[in-house]
Amino acid sequence: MELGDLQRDLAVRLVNHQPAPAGCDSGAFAWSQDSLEAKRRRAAGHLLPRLRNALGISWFPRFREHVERYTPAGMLHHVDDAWAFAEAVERESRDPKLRLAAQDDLVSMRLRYVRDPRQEAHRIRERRGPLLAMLHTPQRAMVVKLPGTPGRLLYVCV
Amino acid sequence: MAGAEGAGAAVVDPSHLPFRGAGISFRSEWRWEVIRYRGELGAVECIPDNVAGPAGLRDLVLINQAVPVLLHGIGLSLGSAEGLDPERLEHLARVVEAVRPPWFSEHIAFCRAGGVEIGHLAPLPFNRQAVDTVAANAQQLRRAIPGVPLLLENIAYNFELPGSEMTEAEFVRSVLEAADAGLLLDLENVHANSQNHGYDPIGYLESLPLDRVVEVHLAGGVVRDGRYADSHTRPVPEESWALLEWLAPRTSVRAVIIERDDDLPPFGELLAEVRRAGEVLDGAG
Repeated sequence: MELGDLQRDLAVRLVNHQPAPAGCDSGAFAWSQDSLEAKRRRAAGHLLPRLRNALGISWFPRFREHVERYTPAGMLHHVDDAWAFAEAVERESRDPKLRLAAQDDLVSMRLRYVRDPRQEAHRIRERRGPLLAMLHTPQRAMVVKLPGTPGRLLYVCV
Repeated sequence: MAGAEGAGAAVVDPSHLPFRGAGISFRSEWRWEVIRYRGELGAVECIPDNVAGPAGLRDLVLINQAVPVLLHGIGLSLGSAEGLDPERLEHLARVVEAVRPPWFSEHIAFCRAGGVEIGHLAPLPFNRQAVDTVAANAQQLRRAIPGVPLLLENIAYNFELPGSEMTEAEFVRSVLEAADAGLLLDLENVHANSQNHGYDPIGYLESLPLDRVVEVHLAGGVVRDGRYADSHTRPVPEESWALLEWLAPRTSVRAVIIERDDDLPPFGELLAEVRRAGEVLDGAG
């Protein structure tokens, strides 16, 4: 098999939890797939602390569902990954507590970054423009980010 | 070493590169500690992929004024048969221009193919086609950052791909020669691979071109389900320290970087590892 074909096949198998390619140690391959998922989950956990806490033990299965249907992209692919997960929870969850946790974590990320799904390498970039958003935890507050690099932050409790 | 063909080729000779000593991989959580303890750090290694814009670049320049910055790429995918992403190369060139590091390092691996981002470094088959692919991509990389010596790093791998024609050490040697690159020798990866693939780490090191070693990485991992995971979450194990003590007097190592990505310890614990690495380098003369 040509190297390019081998790599395309391997990338899909690794990311989508498919069986190991022929001639590959299936146990070691599965171990690598689990490690990849754990790495994604750990990185997302750092970026989504409220959502992780709100999900509790459901964090693991919910993130597994996300891994099965989303492939992150770009240089800051861990940010893209967490962003997509939080947006999915915000969009799909019926639990208002989860939706608020996802929204607040998204605000935290939006204060720092902008995300453009049309982009590949630069999908996640530093935010330079202004932002006005509401945070709900630990208390309700309006947050304003002024334009600039990095841009001043103002919190107004409401 | 023979020079690589093409404009901007930079021959890597460790003895002609600046000595940086021992340092750490940069974490934004440690920004202030890095500045406060700058006198104890020979270098901090930063990942250009994590610089998301002008503010990130400005932070990097500020850190570079306090402690010399080394740039270490994780996402160029030098082993990709599809070639390199021009946007990533442009981004890297901007960061290199701002920091002007003594060298740039990347991995002997691939991390994306067919539009799929794996999110980690995947191994290449140990064969000639992969050697030629890395060499061609290294050439392209050199054109983007002319004059900057290139180091390539051995990776930790859990499975071997079909189609290999040589041993891992022969493969690393062939890649370094074909790409005319220096070696960033990750001793924790050597330790992890020796555990997971059952080989003698010293025998492995002896078969590498040690005259190309410029930089060393140290880290600590965990055993999970019977396999050693290079997780960068624990202190450097004694086995890896022993490898550094073996290696240091046999090479002209210019820098040793302690990597820690998660389960971050108090900064003092990290500094203790930095001091220990410095003592090994000093002891080697």
